[in-house]
Amino acid sequence: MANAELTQQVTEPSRLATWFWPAFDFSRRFFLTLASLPFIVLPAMLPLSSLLLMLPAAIPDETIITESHQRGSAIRNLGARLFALGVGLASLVAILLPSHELAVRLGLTGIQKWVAIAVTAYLLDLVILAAVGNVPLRYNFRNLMVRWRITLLTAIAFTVVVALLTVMLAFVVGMYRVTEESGQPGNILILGDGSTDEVFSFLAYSDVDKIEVERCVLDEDDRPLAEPIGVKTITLGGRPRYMTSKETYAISIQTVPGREKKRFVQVRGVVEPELAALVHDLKLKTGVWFSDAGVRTPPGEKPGERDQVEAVLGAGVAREFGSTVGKPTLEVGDTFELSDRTWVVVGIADSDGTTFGSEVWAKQSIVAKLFSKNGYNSMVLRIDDRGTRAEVSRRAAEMAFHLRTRFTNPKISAQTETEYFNKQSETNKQFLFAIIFVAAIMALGGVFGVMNTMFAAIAQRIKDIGVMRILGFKRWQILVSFLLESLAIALIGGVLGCLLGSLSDGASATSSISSGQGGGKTVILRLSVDSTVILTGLLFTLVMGRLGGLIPALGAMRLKILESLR
Amino acid sequence: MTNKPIVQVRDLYKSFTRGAEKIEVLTDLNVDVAEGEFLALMGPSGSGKTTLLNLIAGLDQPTSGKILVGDQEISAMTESQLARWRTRHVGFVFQFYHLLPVLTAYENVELPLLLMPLTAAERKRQVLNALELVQLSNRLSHRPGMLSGGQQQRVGIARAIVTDPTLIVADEPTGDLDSKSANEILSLLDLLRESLNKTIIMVTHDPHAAERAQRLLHLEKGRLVMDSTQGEPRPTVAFPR
Amino acid sequence: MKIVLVLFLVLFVGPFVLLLPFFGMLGAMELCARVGGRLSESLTATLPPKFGAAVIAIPKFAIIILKSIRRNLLRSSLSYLAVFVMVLVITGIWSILTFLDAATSAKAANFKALVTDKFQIPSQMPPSYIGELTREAANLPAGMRADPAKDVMTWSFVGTSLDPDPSKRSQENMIIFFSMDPRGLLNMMDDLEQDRLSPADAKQMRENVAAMQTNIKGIVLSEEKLRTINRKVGDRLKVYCFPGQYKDIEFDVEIVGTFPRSAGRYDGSAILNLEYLQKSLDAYERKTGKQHPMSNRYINLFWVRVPNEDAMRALAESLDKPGRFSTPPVKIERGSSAVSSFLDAYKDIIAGMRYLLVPAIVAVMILVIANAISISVRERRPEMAVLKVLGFQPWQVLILILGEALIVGVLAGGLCTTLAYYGVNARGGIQFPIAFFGKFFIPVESLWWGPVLGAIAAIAGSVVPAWSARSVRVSEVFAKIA
Repeated sequence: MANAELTQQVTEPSRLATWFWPAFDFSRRFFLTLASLPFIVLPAMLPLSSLLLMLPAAIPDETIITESHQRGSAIRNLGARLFALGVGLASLVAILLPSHELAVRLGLTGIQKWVAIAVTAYLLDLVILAAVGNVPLRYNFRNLMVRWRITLLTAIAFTVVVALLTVMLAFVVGMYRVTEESGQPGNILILGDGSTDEVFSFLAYSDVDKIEVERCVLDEDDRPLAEPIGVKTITLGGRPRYMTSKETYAISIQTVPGREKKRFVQVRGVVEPELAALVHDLKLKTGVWFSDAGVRTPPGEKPGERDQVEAVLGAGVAREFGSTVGKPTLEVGDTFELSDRTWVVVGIADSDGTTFGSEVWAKQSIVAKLFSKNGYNSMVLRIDDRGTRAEVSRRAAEMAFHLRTRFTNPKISAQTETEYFNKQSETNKQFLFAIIFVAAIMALGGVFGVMNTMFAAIAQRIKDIGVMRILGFKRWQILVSFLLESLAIALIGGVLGCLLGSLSDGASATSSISSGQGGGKTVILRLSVDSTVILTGLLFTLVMGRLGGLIPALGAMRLKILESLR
Repeated sequence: MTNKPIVQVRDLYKSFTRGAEKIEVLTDLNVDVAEGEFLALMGPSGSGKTTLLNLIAGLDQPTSGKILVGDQEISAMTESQLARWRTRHVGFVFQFYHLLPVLTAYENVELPLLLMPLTAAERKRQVLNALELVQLSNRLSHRPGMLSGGQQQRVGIARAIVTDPTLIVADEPTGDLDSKSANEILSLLDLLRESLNKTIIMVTHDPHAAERAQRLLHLEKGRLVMDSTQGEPRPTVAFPR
Repeated sequence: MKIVLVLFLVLFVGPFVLLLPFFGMLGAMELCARVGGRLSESLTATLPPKFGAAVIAIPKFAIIILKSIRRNLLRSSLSYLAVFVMVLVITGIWSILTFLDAATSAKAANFKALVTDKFQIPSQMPPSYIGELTREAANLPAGMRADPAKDVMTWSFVGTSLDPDPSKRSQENMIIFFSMDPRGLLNMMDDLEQDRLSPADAKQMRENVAAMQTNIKGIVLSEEKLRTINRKVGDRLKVYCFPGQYKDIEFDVEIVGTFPRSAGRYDGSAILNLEYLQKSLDAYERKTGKQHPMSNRYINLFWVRVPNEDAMRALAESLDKPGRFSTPPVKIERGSSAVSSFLDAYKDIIAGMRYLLVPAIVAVMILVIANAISISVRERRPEMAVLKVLGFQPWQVLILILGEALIVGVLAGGLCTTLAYYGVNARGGIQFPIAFFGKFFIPVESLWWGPVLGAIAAIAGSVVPAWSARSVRVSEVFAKIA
């Protein structure tokens, strides 16, 4: 009887047990996997050669440099571990130092510098491993070629992700170029009191003359300056002139010719185009500046109502207008309708890559009348610009400070153009974050893809791994060889992706920049696939390849020889 | 022949644990192998002969006991040291050849040499020598998929000897071959022993293969039950398969 | 410290939380399959044999598929998570695109038209236009005319700050007002129309309007704006207009109400009574003896609801009459066209999102599933051979693989969009500043986007490995055994 009961108990485990324990076990394994991720991801970012040299610090049985290992006193063990750690760190420095040198030699700064250092370090690392590691590379690459279909399929994931990343980054770099290059270091932008953008700014005609002659003699801490700062003077047309540009700005609504749509056109009225061009460092690509009258009588007509407004177009807006009438760009002599008048193109400015590229310039008096403005929206001053860029910037900053704090007749808003455009790059940052987010998500896909492929490849080649271990290849050599294989896949895909993405270089695109406080300027930018973008794409693919390949390679490394051959 | 023993096994004991069970594979083994000997290990399945082979070849560590190969105590080496040692001192021949399918015959034979400090020219010389010895010089760039079983095994043997190892270890080398190819392989092994004085330890089920060996070790349930040298009278009891 | 905590939550707790419904659904499906299996077994007695066999087969197949998903739970979970995350991103992008499409698409009837400056933005129209435009709209022929009490609305944008010093402006002290007649809040604001709100919310809006009409200094804010500026209903504030706009004007306002929580679109919004603006401009004139520069320019937008296209055209004609509306000249267009024009600056970005980003993410999803399934198939080749030996047809083996991918894909997509729809919308929507839109909500269509995306990824990804599984030769089962 007791036996039967016992048997009963043994043969029918409770329902709870069948569900609970596997669930608990799974949760435990899942959490452990997740918890170990940082410890895998972070070391995965180190150059592999350093990682390997440091390996004995964590796994004492694995010796990389020395062959003999004395299982002995705890002190000896500790010494061996510290030695390994030291050697590893030394090799890390040995890789990073030349990479840093190279980046500095090439004159790179900022993000570009760090990305370049990372890429160089990784590539240097690969070269060291391939050359010194005694890794059976031919075996791995032959496998890639023999299994070219799955290699290509996995690589395609990288191509897609990197190509998209390249295009998106090219867009953002294009936006940054616009905001960076639109400002001159020696220029100060004057707006009406409390205004942050030109649209809502107002400067009375009578006020600007006083600003022009203002001189700043104290610095920001009220100490006397060595040399007073004032508006720069130049000789133009035989007379000395202040380098200032007084401008009236309007956003006009234009019906797109031939379509039902409307678009916004930025119009800037300047008083003296040649002077304004000097202030903004703009040159004409073709044509001439508008005349003093600002209008031109079309041939065969009498001067009057049908006069055409003379306009100089930014390169970007010329292309934009051209595209809607079936030409690559509008040219000198072409006309367009705006604000119920006919405008004629008298020149095209070489303004690609600046906000002026999206603007239509005309005579200020004409613009003011057309758009019912009875003052200026803004004024730009150029201060004395002798010396280095840093000196000029400092001087401009001091003058701007002076004008906005001490000058009260009237109160105005003054900032250096550099400051102003930096603020406009708020949107750039938002785009960058969005891009990084999306790229990270897609990177997940690439990482999983290569991880799965490598797992499968290793599963198929377990016997090969066993044979190589028997022949004497060490665990770490197996690790490195499979990691290099996954990196090769990543590089193939990534380089293809960079090439594909770089086809977008130079493409025109429209976007909007703003300082985040409402309003925004439309800018026409050119996608720019510069070296930073390419290097970032390469770095991205290398990181994805390492992350995806590390775990399977670790698995390959841990196989027991005898089990592999079964 | 009183050669110094190149392999010395002392008090060898090997066991595995599977779950809660302990499985004893080898118990109380003491064997000496002389240089230049051709030794066959025989016994029913589960007798431990393959395990003994693996231990002598440095693929595994004994639970207790000592194994010395040519003055080096391999039973005390770490995994890393064993890897290095194996490259230089052991040549393997497998029943299923275990060539890397994506490499050519030349590259398969060259593989172990990549671990040794040789120049490319030296490597090339040794590989070509080895392949000539097994008479496959005309199949250098063939991949295993294009070779017959016998030819693949010859490549396997060439790989085993290319590093000039102290010991050649063969696990059922003729197990997957027809009788003609099997004979060729065995003759080759004979040749290696006679002309190069190689020590060969072979595990086999095949009595024909066993005949070629000079000495026979018979294991049963992890113990050495018979150790005979060819030429001496042998028990006529047929070995159970 | 907070960042570390958030990171911890996202990386560790997050995936687990996301997986629980997955496991739950799998378990529920298996339960149904088992129960269904039992039921169908008892049913088969009463059915013709072939039909009966088919009925039994379905739950049995389901169980086999669910078991194989369970087999390598780690791999299934990874695939599930990858698809989940990617469907989430696509859902976000499509929500934004759908909303923008809706805002720019023309409705056939009863749409809002916008009267603005013909040639430039911002529009700055004189207050006399209010009366004149309303009269024009009310004097249209029957069937086209507008009801002045319910079908018109004007907006004036007034930027103010709680701190008079412009350099101290920040999100925490700025309030950008829509200054308007409060009646417009009841009928003319998108998503706030009385007949579209719940009864409680509709009542809240009516009370807001009544309060603003009783006290012209009353303002209505969104709850979120209230939080940002750290005030509550009933507080009085002094706000200073931006000097670039309504220079030297200040308002003494009282917060009399908030937008209902369901009107998430208006999260940054604030309403000021137009009458108070007008009175303030008059007060300025009395005090300084001069007209304020904005006195004749403070109407920015004039909205009118028109019943049909003909009505709008008729109104347009009357606007063009010489001498009528000339300073400034105005135009009328559909509200949706106006939005289109604003979005023109973003057309490349929108096109990029629609045609580059989404297809790329879908492609990556397909590749992830393809990889996972092909490994699964490769591992189980001997099993497939055994199934065939036992009598499974090739197409049935195909179904097993396809089914595995489909279940993971559809569950991942479906759970994702369900979570997104209820979760994200409850949290206040997606924050993506494009033009003047701040927040986007996930539309109800998303509930089928997820499963469809998951299914597409599953089928496209598993079609090749499933075909290869289908073609496994029976002889393979013997190859391994030898």
